[in-house]
Formats: sequence, structure tokens, C-alpha cells
Amino acid sequence: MPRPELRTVRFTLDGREVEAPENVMLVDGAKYGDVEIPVFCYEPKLGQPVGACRMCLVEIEGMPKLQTACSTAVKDGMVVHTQTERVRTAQQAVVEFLLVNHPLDCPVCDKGGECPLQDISYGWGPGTSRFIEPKRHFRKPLELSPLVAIDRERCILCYRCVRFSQEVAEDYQLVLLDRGAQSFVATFDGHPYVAPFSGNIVELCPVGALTSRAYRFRARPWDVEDSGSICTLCPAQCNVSFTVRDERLMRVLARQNDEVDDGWLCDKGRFAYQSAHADERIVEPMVRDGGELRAVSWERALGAAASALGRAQGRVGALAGDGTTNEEAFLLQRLLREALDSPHLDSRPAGGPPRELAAALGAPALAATMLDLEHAHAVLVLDCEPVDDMPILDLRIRKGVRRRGVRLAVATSRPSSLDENAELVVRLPPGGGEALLAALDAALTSASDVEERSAAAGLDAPALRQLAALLTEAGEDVVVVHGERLVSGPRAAHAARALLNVAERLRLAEHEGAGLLEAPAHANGRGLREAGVLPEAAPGWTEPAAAGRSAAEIAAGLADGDLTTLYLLHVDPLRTQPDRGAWERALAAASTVIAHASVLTEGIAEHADVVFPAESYAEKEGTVTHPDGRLQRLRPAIGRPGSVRAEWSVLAELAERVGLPAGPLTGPMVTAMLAEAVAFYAGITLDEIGGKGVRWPKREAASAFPGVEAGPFELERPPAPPAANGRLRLGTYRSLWAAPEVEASPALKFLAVRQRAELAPADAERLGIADGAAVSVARNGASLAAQAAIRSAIPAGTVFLAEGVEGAGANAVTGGEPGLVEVRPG
Amino acid sequence: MAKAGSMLGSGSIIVVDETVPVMDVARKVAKFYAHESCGKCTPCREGTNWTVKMLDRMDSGEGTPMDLDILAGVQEQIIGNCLCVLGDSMAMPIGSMVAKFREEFEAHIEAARERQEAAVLHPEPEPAAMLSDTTGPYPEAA
Ligand code: SF4
Ligand code: SF4
Ligand code: SF4
Ligand code: FES
Repeated sequence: MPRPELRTVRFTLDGREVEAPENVMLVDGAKYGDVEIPVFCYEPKLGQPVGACRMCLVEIEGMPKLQTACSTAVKDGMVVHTQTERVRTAQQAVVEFLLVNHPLDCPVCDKGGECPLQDISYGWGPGTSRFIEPKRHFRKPLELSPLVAIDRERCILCYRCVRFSQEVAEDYQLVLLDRGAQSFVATFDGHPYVAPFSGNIVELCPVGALTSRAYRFRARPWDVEDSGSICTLCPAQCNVSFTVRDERLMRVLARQNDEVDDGWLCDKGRFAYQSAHADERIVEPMVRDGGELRAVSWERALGAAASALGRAQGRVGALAGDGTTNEEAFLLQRLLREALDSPHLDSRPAGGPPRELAAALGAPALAATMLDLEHAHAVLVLDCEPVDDMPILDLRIRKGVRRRGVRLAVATSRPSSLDENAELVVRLPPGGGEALLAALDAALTSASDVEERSAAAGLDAPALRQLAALLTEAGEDVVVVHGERLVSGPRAAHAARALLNVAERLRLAEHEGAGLLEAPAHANGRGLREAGVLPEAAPGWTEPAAAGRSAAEIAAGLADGDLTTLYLLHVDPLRTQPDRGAWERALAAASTVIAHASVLTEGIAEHADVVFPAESYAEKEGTVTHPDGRLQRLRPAIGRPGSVRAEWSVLAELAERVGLPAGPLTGPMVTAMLAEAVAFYAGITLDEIGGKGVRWPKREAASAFPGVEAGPFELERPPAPPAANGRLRLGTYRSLWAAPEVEASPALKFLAVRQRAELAPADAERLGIADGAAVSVARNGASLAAQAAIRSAIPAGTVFLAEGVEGAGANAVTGGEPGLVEVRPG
Repeated sequence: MAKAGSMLGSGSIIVVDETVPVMDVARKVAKFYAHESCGKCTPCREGTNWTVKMLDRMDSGEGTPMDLDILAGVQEQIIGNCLCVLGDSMAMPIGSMVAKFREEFEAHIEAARERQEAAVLHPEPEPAAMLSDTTGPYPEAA
């Protein structure tokens, strides 16, 4: 969609000529003339202004009444006064009115010292109040949710929290009840406000009415420091500001970056900082001794790891994931490839397409940005659930649909929370992504076999034609959002070809505002691949000297003794990899397992021989790469606890010990090594990345991206799904809350995920399963206990399980790829 | 109409004869608008509510003639500062009532004070609890 062009207008502000962009509201326009107009309810992130608080009244010549500067756009030639007696009287009136029912308990109020009501009362208020009547009283504070406390006496009824819930997160839970001076904020049904983005209201509230229960009374603005960094708890990589007091994280606030997060955070990002200070965190190196992990000195741990690695020349495998930085990734692949002659490393849990195809999907011309999502003509959400896979994506898509009329199509196997916003919803059988793409490709080229291909894929041909029509008719800017799962598994190459075909038909590479956006499985998935943590691609998607084994092949290699040693960088394979059984065998057979971990999750606790304590994301320095190609910089906000060391230095030291010295290094030197090794990162420095990040696809060096295989490809027919015979087709998804950081954060414990088997009502009835009953899901002799959750939106014949649940992940029954499972009561 | 400090609003005219105390008229008008205020704009929401509380206090004998100045000031602070004219519709008549019937208000306040002083000898039960009914749907935090 064409982005609005910026034109400037001239207007007179307090007697001076000011230039400002056309159509901005006066409040913002006035800033161009260095005039601050006080506001409470105005918050452009929330969409259209409401003009409720009346704090921003100004005088505009030609208008009899004072006007609200937050909802009046600047016009050429406008004459505005903000300092007249009339304006001042009105401002004082509004402040006096706001304080009429305000308790002014600043000394015990969390907002004190950073409170707009304090600041505005001081700057624009009358200084005294004539109000001597009784104020309105509420019981306080109450629990609005386990995360947020509400003090209704302090509320100035600015509507911000309600607008967030209704118009941004669209969870429709918060409302203002009653009316007039009796109005109060509540959830519509009286239930706690539990939603993935609920914490944002704490930051939006201009007073101390909504406070974080995890932060309440723990610090004051004058004894904390703010430290900007990146949240690496998911691929959204939101820009955050850590509030630090005495080397402890106190809270996380958004550090608005419109090109990344739009100023929002999810509740995981906002509250899981607590995991950095959790008791269960590993803060010392450990070595297995007599069957048990014991804390040891660094010297001993490094020595043990180096000698194991040295012995295993050529027979080491490695997995990296989660918040691994680009620098760590680069050093890991250097260690394996150059020092250990073992190119067996992977960052894709379920594998992926071969190098040329994978690189083609990651090509700069195909990369869509977060802003593109908002301005696209159409967005297709394909085989992923944004709110779980990359939460902020969900808000961005909603914003595009709500405010800019983006046409949304959702094609997923599990019912999506975006279904209601979509113009078209296509349900595919679990694992049916490739088949959908192949059929869509046929529909886009008006091939004659659309019906046949759709039927083979278990899809509805008319719906597919509709989808093709929507994507072609909406306009040229189409963004396809997909999950890593779409192009993974044994048929990844075919799926990648089909996706490239669709991209080609829709000309995604040719249009600036069109492209692909992938939610990778790991927070820094894109960065890990570009830094070369792949079995068959060295840094910068170049061809390595020797191709290595993929994750699944590493597991097989360890199990049958071809490989002996496993290096785990922020991965617990029993939790993150599909096919738990294969990894149980692999871990049991491995002679040495070396892991970087922050907590002892199951696989690490039972199988690691050497454990290096991992830094929390608030302690790390380095860079990560956003799914849209933006390099972002992590800066340490707090010191590392115990004897935790910078992990990149651990990797560098190990390389040194096994005979690959790099000389003395600093963090920025490693970044420079990375920029040198990845041709299309050439010349990037930490300074250039700065606080807002820099998208490499937009830099000149992007031309150094390797040539890639170009389509369109002849597509092989996807195999028909096996007959069900009374069994159910298993689909998996990743819950936002299934993460070790959530489990280790006291505030979020109430959200920790228990395994649920989501069933369609018809299947539940046939199998005699009641909602909430215990069930067992079995496949190939392995089984998993879960609680039945009957959801009417689940398509009959399928069952969904969550991945990554500690001790009960879907990977117990996935056997590498989704298939058919038996679900039984009990 | 505007010159007289009132407005036609929905087109209705309220006729009141001289036997009705102006305080009663003012309270009736103010309560009506405080009840009708949607609560969006600050001046209307808080202004109508404040006006009612002041009038009630004066009527119960706790007021002084100085309160009338505050009352008039509050009305001025509402007029023209909101999105709609609901607040104005209260502020204009109340403002003009204070201006045009100030003496009657003062007499009413004085009489109420005397009544109240007399009542001190026979104290009435405690005023109703100040806690609002709308304490919200959640149990008090532990
Ligand atoms: S919200 Fe602001 S003005 Fe109100 S009590 Fe808290 S610090 Fe004071
Ligand atoms: S709780 Fe805060 S954000 Fe919500 S309406 Fe009240 S003052 Fe505004
Ligand atoms: S969306 Fe992801 S990156 Fe953003 S705050 Fe949440 S967990 Fe962190
Ligand atoms: S900021 Fe303009 S009315 Fe509230």
C-alpha cells in the first residue's frame, strides 16, 4: 500500500511560524516549535485520539471554543495559542478537576517520581485545590490479574488501558463500567485480566492506578537506572529498557522502535526478567562426577570440555538455539569446523531445506519488514500462530487490519487467534503446508489440476481459489508470514520450492513492500543460520569445506556411535527437538555432552557431563538478527552472577585449548570477525547498529548475498496423507508460555503450561472423552499423558499438542514429523 | 436565552414559581446532570459531581456563603471545555442561579446552618459509610 507521503505545513504557534508534517495532531506539531502541550489520554500508539481528559486544550483563531490539541490536526495557516490566559485557566481547571477525586498518595504510590499527573499538576495546575468534599473511595489495591494491581481511586479515567484491550490487543476484556463520576475500570465479566499482552497497560497508565505486582514497592525512579537492550526470549526481539537497581533487574519497559515492536511487549518479555535472579539458575560451571553434576572451577570445567572435544576430533555434533547471539554462533561453528573437523551443527530443530533453497528464502529481496506488515495490501499467515511464535507480530497484523484495511488470510492447521480478523480462513491438515503451497501455486497459475491437488491435500478447492484471488487482487504488496515448521522436516526441500514458486507468482521479490517473514523456531534463528550454524552452510550461506549432519542425523550418529560428543548451546534436545525418543537414545549413547545452560532442565540434568553457566539475556553483549534482517545489539544491563562468564569467551577459550588460537579478543572484535565472515554483513559495526538496529538487506553489502536457485520449480506431488483408521492426525504448536524463563519467573508461574490434547467435539464424543479428562496420546509404542481440552474450532480428525512443555512435550509422540496418533481416555 | 445564562437544550422549559427554594431547583438540576454525565470529559464528570456535593453540603448546613464563589467558579470551569454540552447545560443555569439568586442561597445556607447547630444538641446517627458500593468484582488483595 502506498505509504503516506510526508508534506509539511506552516502554522503560527504562540506568535512564531512553525513547520510540521501535515496531518499530525497539534500536540505533536507543537513539538516542532518546542512547545509542550500537556496530555493524559493522548497516546498515538493506541490509534485514534479520544479527546477525553481535556488537558490539551488550546486556542485556535477562528474557533469559538477551545480545542483539544490531541485530536486537531495542524493545517496550513492555522493560528494557535497555547499560553493565553484563557488556555491557562482551562488547563488549571482540568488539573483541579482531575485531583478532585484523586487520593494524592504519592508517598506510597509506585508512580511517584515518574508520574505525569504529578508533573502536569506541577507544571500546569493551579497549585491549590478548593475541593473539600469527601473523595470517592474504592477498596484498594485489588488484583486486576495476578500480574497487575488496580487502584481505582488513582484512576483518572483516561481510557488508555481500555483502548489497549479493545483496539490494540483486541482481547476485549477491559471496560469502563458505570458512568459519570462513578465510572471504573474492570473486566467485563469480573474475571482476572489474563491475556498475552496485559502488562502493557501498566506502562500506558499515566498514573499509579495500574501497577505491576512484581514491581510494586521494590524501587523508586530515583534509585534505579535504565539500560537499553533487546529481549531475546522469542524471535520478535523487542527493544526493551531494563530497570536496574543494585545489579538486579526490577522490571522491563518497552523501548519503542516502530520498525520492530511498535512500543509493545508481551507478558513473557515484561515479566520473565525474574528468571535472571531465580534460585534455580546455574551460576557456576559443573562437571559430572560419580554420576552427579558438581560445581567446579572454570579451569576444571574448561579442561574437561577441551580434552573431551580434543579426543572426539571429527566426531562432535552441536546444536544451538534460543538466545544464542550471532557472535556465539560464529565462534561455535568456527570451533566445530576449524578446530574439531566436525561440521555437524544445526540450529533448526526439525531440519530445513538444502543450502541454495534455504538461502533463496532468506534473500534480501524477499525479506519483508515489520512495517511492511502494516502497510501491505494483503497478509497471508501460513502455518504459524503469531501470538505464540512471535507475539508482537500478532499485534502488528491486527493493527494493519484494523487501521489500514490490510486484507488478511489465515491458512493454518490449528485454529488461530487471528481467524476473527481474517477475510479468509483455510484450515489445512497438520503438516499440510507443502500441499497447500503446491495447490496455491497451481491456483495462482490457473493450472488445470487445482481441484486434484487440493483434494489430495485434504483441502477445499474453492477456498484455495478464493485465497489465490485474494492475494492477487488485493494489490502488489503481499506479505507471507510463515513459521519455520512450514519449511522443515524430511520434505523441507519440496516445501521450500513450493513457497518460492508462490513468492515468484506473487512477485514478492520485485515489490518493495512485499515479501516473506518467517517466525523461526529459535529467538535468533535467522542470525544463527546467517552465522553458519547449519550442517551445510558456512557463515554467509557459503558452501562449507565439508557438509555436516543435520540435527536428526546428529542424533542418529550419536546413537550408533559415529559421533561421540555433543555440544549444546542453549538447547535441551529433550525439550526443543522433535522426536524425543531419538534424542534420549543419542544422549544416553554420547560419551560426552557439553552444555551451556541457565537452568537444569531434564536433558541437561540427566545427561550433561560439563555444564557452563549461561548468561541471561540481560547480561549478554553481542548482536542478534531479527527475522526481517535487522541486526540488533544486546548490551549488558547487569553484572553476571556467581562465576558466570561471557559465553563467547568460553567458546573462544575452548577453541584456543583445542589448538585454534585467535589471540586476545574483546566482544566487539568478535562482532568484527563475524562481519568479515558474512559477506552481506560486511562493515557492520556495533556503532552502526546502535540503539535501533540496522537492516542488512537495506545496506549496500546486501549485494554480496550469494546467488541463489531461482524458480519457478517443477513441483513434485506431495505424498497423500496416510489413512486414519480411527486414529487422529497430530498437529503441534508452541505455546508462548512453554519456556524455561516462564517456569523460573515467580510472577509467571501461574501461566506455566500443562500438556493439553485439543480435540474436536465429534472426536471426543466418539472416543468417550470428556472435557478436562485425562487422556493418553500414543504413537509407535510411545505415549504421552495429557488433559483433554475440547474446542469446537478444532477440525474433526485432528488433535493438537504443545511443544516444549517441560517433561511432557509433544515430541514424545512426534517421531520427527507429525503423523497419526491414538488418543484414549486415561 | 444564552444572554440569560441558560439554553434551550432539548427544547424544554422548566417553570418554577417563587414558592420553590432555588437551592432545591439547583440540586435537582445538578443531580440530574451528574447522573447523566457519561464521564468521558474531565470537566463535566468531575464538575457535575463536585457541584452536587457542594450543594448537598450547603443544604445540610455545612456550607458558608463563600462556597457560592467556589460553586460559581466551578461552573465557569466547565463551560466550553468539554466535547458535548451536557456539562454546560448544568453549568449555565447553576451559574446564573448563583448570580441572580445569591441572596436567597445565602439565606438558605444560613437557615440550614442554624438548623444544624440546633441538631448538634441531638446528634444524628453517623453519616453513611464513605466506601462506595462499587468496590469491584475481586476480593480484596491479601
Ligand atoms: S498517580 Fe501520581 S499523583 Fe497520583 S498518587 Fe500516584 S504519584 Fe501521586
Ligand atoms: S486505569 Fe490508568 S490507564 Fe486505565 S483509565 Fe485509569 S488512569 Fe487511564
Ligand atoms: S514478543 Fe518476544 S521479544 Fe517481544 S517481549 Fe515478548 S518474548 Fe520478548
Ligand atoms: S490529551 Fe487531549 S483530551 Fe486528553
